[in-house]
Amino acid sequence: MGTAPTVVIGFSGAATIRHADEIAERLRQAFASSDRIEIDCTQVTEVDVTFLQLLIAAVKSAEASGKVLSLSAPVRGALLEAVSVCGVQDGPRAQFWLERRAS
Amino acid sequence: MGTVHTIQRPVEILTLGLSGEAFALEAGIVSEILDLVPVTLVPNAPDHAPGLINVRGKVVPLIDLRVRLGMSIGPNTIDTRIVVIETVLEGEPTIVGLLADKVFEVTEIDMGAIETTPKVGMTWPAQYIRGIGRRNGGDFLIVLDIDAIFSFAQ
Amino acid sequence: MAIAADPVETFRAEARELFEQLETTLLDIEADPTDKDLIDTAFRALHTIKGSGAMFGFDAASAFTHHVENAFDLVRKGNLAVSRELIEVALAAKDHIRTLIEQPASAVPGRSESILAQLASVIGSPPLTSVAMKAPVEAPPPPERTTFRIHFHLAQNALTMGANPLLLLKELRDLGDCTVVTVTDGIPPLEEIDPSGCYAAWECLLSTDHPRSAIDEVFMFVIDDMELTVEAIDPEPKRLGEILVDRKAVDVETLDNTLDQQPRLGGMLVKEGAVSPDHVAAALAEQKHVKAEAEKAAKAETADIRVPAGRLDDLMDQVGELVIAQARLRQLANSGADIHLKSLVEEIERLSSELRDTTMGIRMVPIGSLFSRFRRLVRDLSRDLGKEIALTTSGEETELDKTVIERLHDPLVHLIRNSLDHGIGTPDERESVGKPRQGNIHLSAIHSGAQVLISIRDDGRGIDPAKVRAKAEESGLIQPGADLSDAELFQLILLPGFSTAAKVTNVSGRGVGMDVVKRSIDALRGTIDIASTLKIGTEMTLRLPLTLAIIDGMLVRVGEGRYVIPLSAVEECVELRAEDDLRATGRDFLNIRDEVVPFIRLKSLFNVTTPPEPFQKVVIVSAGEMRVGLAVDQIIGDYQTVIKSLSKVHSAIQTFSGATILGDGTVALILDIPHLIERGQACETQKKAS
Repeated sequence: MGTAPTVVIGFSGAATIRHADEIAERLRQAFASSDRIEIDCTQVTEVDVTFLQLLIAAVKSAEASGKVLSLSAPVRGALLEAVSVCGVQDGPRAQFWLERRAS
Repeated sequence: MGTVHTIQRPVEILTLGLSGEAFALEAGIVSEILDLVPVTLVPNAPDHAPGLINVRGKVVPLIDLRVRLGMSIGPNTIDTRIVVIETVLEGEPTIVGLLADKVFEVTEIDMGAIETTPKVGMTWPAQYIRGIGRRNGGDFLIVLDIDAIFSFAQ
Repeated sequence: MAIAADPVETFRAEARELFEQLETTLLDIEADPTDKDLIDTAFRALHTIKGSGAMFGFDAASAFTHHVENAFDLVRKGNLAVSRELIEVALAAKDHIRTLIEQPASAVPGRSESILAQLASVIGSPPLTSVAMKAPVEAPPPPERTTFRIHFHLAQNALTMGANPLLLLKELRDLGDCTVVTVTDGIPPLEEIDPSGCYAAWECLLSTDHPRSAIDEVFMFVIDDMELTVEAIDPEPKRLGEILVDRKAVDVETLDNTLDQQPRLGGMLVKEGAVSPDHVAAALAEQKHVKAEAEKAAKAETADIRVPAGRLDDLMDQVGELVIAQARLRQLANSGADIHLKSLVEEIERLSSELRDTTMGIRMVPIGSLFSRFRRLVRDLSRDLGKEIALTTSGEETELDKTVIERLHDPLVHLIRNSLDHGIGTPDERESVGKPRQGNIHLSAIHSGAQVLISIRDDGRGIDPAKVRAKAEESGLIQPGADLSDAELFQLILLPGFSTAAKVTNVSGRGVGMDVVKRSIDALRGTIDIASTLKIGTEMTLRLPLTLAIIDGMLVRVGEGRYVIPLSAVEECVELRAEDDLRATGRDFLNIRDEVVPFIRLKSLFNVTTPPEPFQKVVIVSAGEMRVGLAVDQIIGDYQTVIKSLSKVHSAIQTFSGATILGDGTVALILDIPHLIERGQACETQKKAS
């Protein structure tokens, strides 16, 4: 168990460029408030590359600062589709997408 | 294993009746004994192999040993049987049915008791006879040489 | 997928195919040295043999092959010309490699060295700087599967301008098999990222039938704002290091230094900071993609399965039993009144019929596989004899049962050798009689009814009937002055007694092996026809029954016996009119629509003594252009039957080609149609003569 409680943030509906600024801001706040961040993407219905990039950016930040970042559930739905098209899940950070633990 | 015949172990034989005479056949080559089944005659077949029968889905030639041995041919009776044997014909393993007027029993005979046949005084062709064997009960039996019978086939 | 316990045996079996392919390819290259595709094929075959050989422990073979592969690599690159000597050495090398793999113990010591020495001298000739090679593809490229390496990177503001990389990737995927890796190196960490900027780049491997232009079209609307590179790559599976260098992700020096250390190249390079993980991932993805492509290509060429022949025989036996049982079931169902049962039985009959056809098809192999084995024979032998002879073929796709093809090999070799030795003369001889210097042997195969006709035709000296007659009389085969047609004379050549004379003349040379050939063909229940015209050429035609273990037959009754006639040979059935029947047996032919057809009374042929029947029929059967009518007492019906061969007890009786078991469990004999036709024709000839 960590010293700080896990912050869970959830996104729902469209996670696209229209909402990118807002998504980025919520992610940054979560990072600022805890060392353990959990992202719930299960309610996301639409995804574009901005969301993927933001998630990857978040992973990078977590790695750099030693925080623990994970997904509430393995990717599914629209997010899974986007991730498959991009081939991101086969890459070095595959674990992040498929399991619930950041590398 | 070569020609070592010194083993005195008794050999199992099947005795069968052809035209009233009793003959013996090595039991090891017999696979089954059937009642008389429909025989399909083969036109222009050799006299000793008049037809074909169905043995479990296999087409098997029927051989009449009486012809081979030059004996008289009587009609079939309810005792008539077909002895199905496995032999070698021109180098190929072949299944063949032997027509017998009667089939008696499987019994034992001493290999050592088989004496070679005298070349004279025999009613039937000496080359088809392996020898004369003696049953435990004391009577003599003519032991057929199946290989010889079929090596003269055709 | 091989079903064999021993992997080495599996390798040997597959290597066999490679060797055959390699030989054919080498001969093709000799015929057309400019065809680049052929050279690639030869190179690839050698490459595979080398690699797999090493894998299965055939180190000597692999090392040897390596040199031959190098030679062909030189040819591929245009640094070595194809020459007769090269093909010569390559063929010898191929034979040697084959020995090293199939029977290493029998390899001649020193052979490797001597062949390699020859190879070296062939290569040593100064490399030609310009070799005229045909471009692999001439006119508009036919749909050829190409693998492209695609890299694209959008401008940072591309997304705000409406670009949608996910959509672009989807469109690329639609073009073919696509492997994608996202390069995330450019994505800044969360604190710094512009949420609507585009930072990711993508590496794709796309294997597609579409031309390059299709890829360009995908990026048409964003092309102004992006980096895009598209290159076709060699679909040869490569090692990771090679791929990284090829992709310029790493330079050769770094690669070599890292390789000197330990495995897991990718990990090492990343650790050293020489390459980003994503680039390694992309290279790995490429490796995987290309490998999958190569496997797919290999599979597409031969989607085959190797099965032990015994297993196929078992399958055929079982299908045979099924056919018999189904026939009995049908009899049973027909004798009852249950409609449901009858229709179900019909369904089963349809299914078992399909199963029968499919199973028989499995064993059928195109005769072309046999024909191609003779090319080498003709080439080598004609060279040895100092003759110029070309082998042409037709009907390679004609299929025969696998076992029949195997048994045809030796007789055909004999016949071809005869043509080569004795039929066709030397170039000078041919020229002196006004023929082209090069002789020709033509092999052909074609289905004809229930038979396969295989012919060997040469344009050589032909057979002199006078000489044959003289020889036959000398050997005591015919009486002097006997009246025989040329065709009948030629048949004498096939008799064992024919070539008893010691002197070898042009004609008696054909005696060598001909009776052996006849015996082989007899064993296949076939016949040999010989036709020849002096000075023009000779044609030998083999007629073989298609080995059908299961056939459709027509059941007929003659006296009390029932017999089966192969339905494929049956042309028609007519009534035997009383007036035809009453004629003396000297006039056994019918007039059918003004054509004279000889007919055979099976009753008399079979020595059946039952009284004559009122409604006899004549079944007209044919083989090729010859026909004969078979008079029977009754036509019972059609039957699907399993052919069982006759044992040696009865197999000599030529009238019957086999036996079968009918629905009621009794045995019926199958008539040998070609024999009966020969008989009918012979009778007719005799009758006509008398």
